[in-house]
Amino acid sequence: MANPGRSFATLLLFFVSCQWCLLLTGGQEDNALSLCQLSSCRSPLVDDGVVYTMCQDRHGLQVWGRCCVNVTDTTHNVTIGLDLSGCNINDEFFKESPLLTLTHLQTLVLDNNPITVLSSEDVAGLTELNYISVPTHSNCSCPGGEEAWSQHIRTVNTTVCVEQTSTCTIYDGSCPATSSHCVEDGPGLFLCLCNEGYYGYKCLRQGTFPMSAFLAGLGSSTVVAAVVLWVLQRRHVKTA
Amino acid sequence: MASIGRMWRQLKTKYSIYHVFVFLLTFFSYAFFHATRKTFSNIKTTISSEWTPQFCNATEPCLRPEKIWMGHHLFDSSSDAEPFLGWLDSTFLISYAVGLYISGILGDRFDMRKVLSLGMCLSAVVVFVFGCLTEWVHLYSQPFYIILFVLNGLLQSTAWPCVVAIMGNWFGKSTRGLVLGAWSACASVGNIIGALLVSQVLDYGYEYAFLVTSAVLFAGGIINFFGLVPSPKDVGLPEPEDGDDDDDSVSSGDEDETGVTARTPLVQSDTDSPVTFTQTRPQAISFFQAVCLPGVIPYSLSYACLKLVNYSFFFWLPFYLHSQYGWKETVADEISIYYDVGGIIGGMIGGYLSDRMKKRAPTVVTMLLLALPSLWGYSASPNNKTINAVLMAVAGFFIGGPANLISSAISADLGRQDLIKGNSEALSTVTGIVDGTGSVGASIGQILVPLLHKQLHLDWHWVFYFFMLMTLMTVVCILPMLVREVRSMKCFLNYQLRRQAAALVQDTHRTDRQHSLNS
Repeated sequence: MANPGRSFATLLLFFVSCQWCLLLTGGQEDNALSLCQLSSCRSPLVDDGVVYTMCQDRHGLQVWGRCCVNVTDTTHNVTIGLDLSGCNINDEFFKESPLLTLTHLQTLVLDNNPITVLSSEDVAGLTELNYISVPTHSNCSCPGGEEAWSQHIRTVNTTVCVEQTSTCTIYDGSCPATSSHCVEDGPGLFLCLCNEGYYGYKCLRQGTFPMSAFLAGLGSSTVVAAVVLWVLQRRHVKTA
Repeated sequence: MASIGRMWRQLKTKYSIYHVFVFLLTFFSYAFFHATRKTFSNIKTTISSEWTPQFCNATEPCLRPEKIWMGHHLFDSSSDAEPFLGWLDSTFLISYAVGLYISGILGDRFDMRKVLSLGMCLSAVVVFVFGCLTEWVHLYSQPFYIILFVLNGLLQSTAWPCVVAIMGNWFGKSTRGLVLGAWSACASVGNIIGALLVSQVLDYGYEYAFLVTSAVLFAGGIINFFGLVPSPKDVGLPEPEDGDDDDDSVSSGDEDETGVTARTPLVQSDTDSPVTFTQTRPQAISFFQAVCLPGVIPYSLSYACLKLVNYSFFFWLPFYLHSQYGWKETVADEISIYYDVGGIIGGMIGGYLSDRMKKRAPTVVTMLLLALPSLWGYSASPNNKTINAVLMAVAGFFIGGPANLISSAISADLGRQDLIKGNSEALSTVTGIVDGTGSVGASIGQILVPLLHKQLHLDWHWVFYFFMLMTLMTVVCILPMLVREVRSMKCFLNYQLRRQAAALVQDTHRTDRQHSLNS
């Protein structure tokens, strides 16, 4: 009688874990894919756009929806260009930080969208991003600000920023010198990573404490001292 | 050559191997306690860094990744953490003061070995939880830290009354001053051990500094449990003499050729002094009775004033040196060692002199009066580290010396005075009262000195004047004891006798003249 109930439970468990598995592994690719096939984008990639031109120029690149994807590596599809112009993207879109997964993104076009602010956190980690085009709205400017880009080309509708500057050179000396070093992390962003041999909070710790040696040494000397002293001293104590 | 041989024989008859180990065990027990305290002072900067995010503002960007640089938010910045560190210190001092009264009472009622060992082991556990466990489980919580420090203060207070009482049980009044003066170095040695251990393991992480010092303290507690003999009675040896009369009979001159005196250990049946093999201790004195013992209140109050000066001097020294000469805070640490050294030498010399005179108060008062000019001299120190260190040592000699004497030798004397000899156990209680009152004075000082400096915007010189005033108050508190002891001193008695004799002679001369006039 218990058997059908048990097999049903295992089936359910299997189903749930399968879905969960798929969710985890397929997540990233799904995310990238969903960006390329964003439903709010009415039209496909424009022919004279930067991303389209980039895709035609080199071998192994393929247009996929609004993306330019490098398909040479068969296991991963690496998105290197993304054109989301006219896709009705607003500030809400960046709340989930969807762009962060596109670590090798080189070109990003966001023209003709109702975006008011684009912060550097939205493009954190995109160290290869060297061309970004954002709408010239009241507050909107290139993420990371003026210092983060070598060239700014401002027109009525769009602002184009080219070539990220080296943030580590600008903020030289921000990372505590002896224990950490600076690493680029996108426009206007940098990371302070612990140097070799340092670890822990604020890279304060160095080396591994010889716990077993310490405990063994202390324990054995305590036992020896206690025994020796008991023999010399307390052996003669008369207890009432 | 022969005199050295005689001295060695004297030493061997007076002291046994038990004395050596009791000295060493109590010395290092208290040293290890101090080492755990010093650990906390030395890692203050590091632990403050651990509790706060990396500093950032408009000009300095906040560092990323957040997990490494901004993750801990117990305090917003190191300047926010500083008052809390001060609170921890004050909490410790207050609970330490309260604990001293309690531990003193406990020491006289229970086996001091057990009280001391338990105190050591439990304190080690608390320190381990405070510094190591909280870091390993990443539990940073202000109320938890405060509770642990209160516990630590109570447990650490078991140390001083027990170790002084045990030393007082083994070393009689005739040598107590010198021996305890040398023994008082345990606090400074503990500071040095603590500083050394911390510097060796701080790189691994501050939690390992706490691990090492608390583990060593725990080990010490275990060793004490198995090896410490709290009183000569426990092994069948006679207790040392504490009254003034008996000291004369066992002074260094009175021994026969073989070096045997009435205090020869291990030979029981021939001597007059009754030796008990039983463990039945005399009843412990009540707290109120202990307070009412002659000398306890004067010396307790005086120690409160003196410990206030001692503690505040150290607490305020880094700020003074920085503001006066622009020296770094590490310099204050180095210079304070000279103060400690001066204090130990002062304690030993003062102890030796007071042993010879068989009176403590004259030595103490003289040294304290000389402390006033030495304090003034230190405040006038030029901007030269060597001279500053020398003046510091001199100040330490005259202030730290009497402080050592009062808290150790004099407490032991008070707890074994003729009034209660053999009738009740009072040594630990009295030591607890004296040191407890001293710690209350120290806590008041910790609050007053910053107040004087910051709130009233007084110059540093006024802080010095305050210290001189407190040193004078120390003398005032001991004056009753001084008067009584001077009156009973032999040279004073001789002086009085001579005056009386001279007055008598004058009287007889006068009566003679009258007679001759009349006749």
